[in-house]
Amino acid sequence: MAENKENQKLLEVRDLHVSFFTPAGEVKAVGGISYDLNYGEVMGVVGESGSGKSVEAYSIIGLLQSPGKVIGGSITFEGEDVLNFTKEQMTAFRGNRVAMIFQNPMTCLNPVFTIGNQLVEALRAHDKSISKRDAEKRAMEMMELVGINNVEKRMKQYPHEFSGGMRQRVMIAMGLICHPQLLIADEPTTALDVTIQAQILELMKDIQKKTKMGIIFITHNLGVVADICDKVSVMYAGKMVEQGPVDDIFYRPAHPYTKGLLRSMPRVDAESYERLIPIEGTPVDMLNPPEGCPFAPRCEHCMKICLKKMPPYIEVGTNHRSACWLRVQEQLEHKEEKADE
Amino acid sequence: MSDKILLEIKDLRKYFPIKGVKGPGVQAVQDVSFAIKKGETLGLVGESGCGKTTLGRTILRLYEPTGGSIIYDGTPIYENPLGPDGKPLGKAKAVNMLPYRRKMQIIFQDPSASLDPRMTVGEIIGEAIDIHKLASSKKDRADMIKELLRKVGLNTEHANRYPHEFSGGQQQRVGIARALAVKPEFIVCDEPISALDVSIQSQVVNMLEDMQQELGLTYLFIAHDLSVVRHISNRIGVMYLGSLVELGESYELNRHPIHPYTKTLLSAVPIPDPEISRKRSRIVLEGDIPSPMNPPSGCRFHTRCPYATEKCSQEAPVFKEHEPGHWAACHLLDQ
Repeated sequence: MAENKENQKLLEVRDLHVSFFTPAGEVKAVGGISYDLNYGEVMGVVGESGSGKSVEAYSIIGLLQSPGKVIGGSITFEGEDVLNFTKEQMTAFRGNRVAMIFQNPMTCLNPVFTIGNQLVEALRAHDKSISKRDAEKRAMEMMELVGINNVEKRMKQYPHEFSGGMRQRVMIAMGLICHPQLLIADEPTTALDVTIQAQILELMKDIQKKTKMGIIFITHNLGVVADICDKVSVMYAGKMVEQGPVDDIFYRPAHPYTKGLLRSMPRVDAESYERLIPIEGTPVDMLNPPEGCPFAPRCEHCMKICLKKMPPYIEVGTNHRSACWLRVQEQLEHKEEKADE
Repeated sequence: MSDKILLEIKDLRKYFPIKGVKGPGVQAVQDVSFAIKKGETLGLVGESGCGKTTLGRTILRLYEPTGGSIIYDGTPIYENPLGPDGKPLGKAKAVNMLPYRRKMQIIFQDPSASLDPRMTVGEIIGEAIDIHKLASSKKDRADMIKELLRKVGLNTEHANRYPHEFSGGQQQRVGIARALAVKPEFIVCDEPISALDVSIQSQVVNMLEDMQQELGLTYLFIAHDLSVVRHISNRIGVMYLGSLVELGESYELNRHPIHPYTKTLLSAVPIPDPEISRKRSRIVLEGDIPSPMNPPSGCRFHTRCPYATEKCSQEAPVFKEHEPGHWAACHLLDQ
């Protein structure tokens, strides 16, 4: 179904602002981000804790909790305005068309119901007409799809009888049971060991190929991003500082924060010892964010204007955008040179 | 790094008995032996539940060992060698740890959980100084605290603040200052950076390296992130289900892993490079880690090993030196 829709827009986010109104003051968790996601595309969202990457995803699926509020911008999913959905529309939208999997599968499964019970419930909540027997059959098919053996026995087991990796497989099965077009995966492998992480990543790549769904993959692990994503958004303090195709982000990073991140990580395939080059300073205090570019206080190339004004997003390559005054300056110089000629 | 051995463990074992269940209980650390030279960093990697943290804590006798021996700087601080039947011979000989606590310290994984929320940073660091009576006067004590804070990159005014006022990276710096307060020689770093943001991790790694240079420290660096361990360690030990399966010089171990488990572990680490990711083939292990309460017979890895043979399920392989300085326990290497 999705094949003919390739290269068409599935999700469009424009100038999204999300704030949390806390007793200590307003926290601008997401401060104006925009992006597109096409059918069948896998987008990675990277950033530190508190950079707003989860909040942004929660607002798409309508799971933002008080005191959090979307205060501006738009989210359009297949041409429909998500932010103006009624409660009923949202319930139908969530699960059916967009699903989400979370970091800690144990806290997402109900410990007192069997796995089978929960899978069937997820399906029947969205498809009232389906019979119990058909729902069970679908649930077993899904469990097989995510690589769980012995499904008949496993259906009758409780979450505590599953290991961490197996629980995450159940969560993926539950997310996919209504065939959503978009899956939001919020750090799905962070709580898992590397060998189990490898299993889950292979599984997600495999299922993505089969179902051609779009995925928003939230993580702080750049290695995982390189492995699974087509394009990447880099977030810092609620701002999207850079986005582009995965190769551009890794081989031609435009923003000093992206460069710093890539440089600061030791690599398992490094040939010899090299001292790490860290990003100095501490993460932004979101209650008192700096004026101008949020990364400026930690940036080695910081200029006067960086401390005063947030740089605009500019194209630095095909589908590759970045918000940095350095790049703006470069492009201006480039234009001047051309004019001189 | 000198050639002098600072810490040696022989057949170190730690079981946690379970109430109401017969048998040895959770076999968390199974007869692990290695030696760390003065000034060296030995990395310890493995998946969660493999016993790396338990091993680190057992070495410091925060957990009392079940058997084996720990020799620190020539003196046995715990001794209960295993007999030929694999059981500890008799009653353990153990020393009073207080003087050794000054020499052996630990940095914990979760900085917010390991710092008392009701004590100021100055009190946290000062407590260690008081216990070991390291300060001659009040002024001396205050100077020491200030000096430690400076050393780990914090301001001296921070001494009057509480842990919750700091970010994760700063809290970990406090944890490090607390460990350094008693001027230790040996530090167990138990996942010191796993709880920190990527951009902060490298700051702390660099600081640990600087401290080692400056103070001649010896580290046992425990982590699950192979790339970080490889970066900071001289040698790496790989653990699986309580046993040490491979030990070697860190770059050598990464280039030529010889144990099948190390190979899988290395191939599972995601590399932040799309080109390499696309080309690379991964060894994906089937199944999950078995329970340490009831570990598999023979080689503990045989249930998940792609090369396992009949012999692997019956006989435990011996941990021995296959190439100079490169140890492993695998039947395949004996053929």
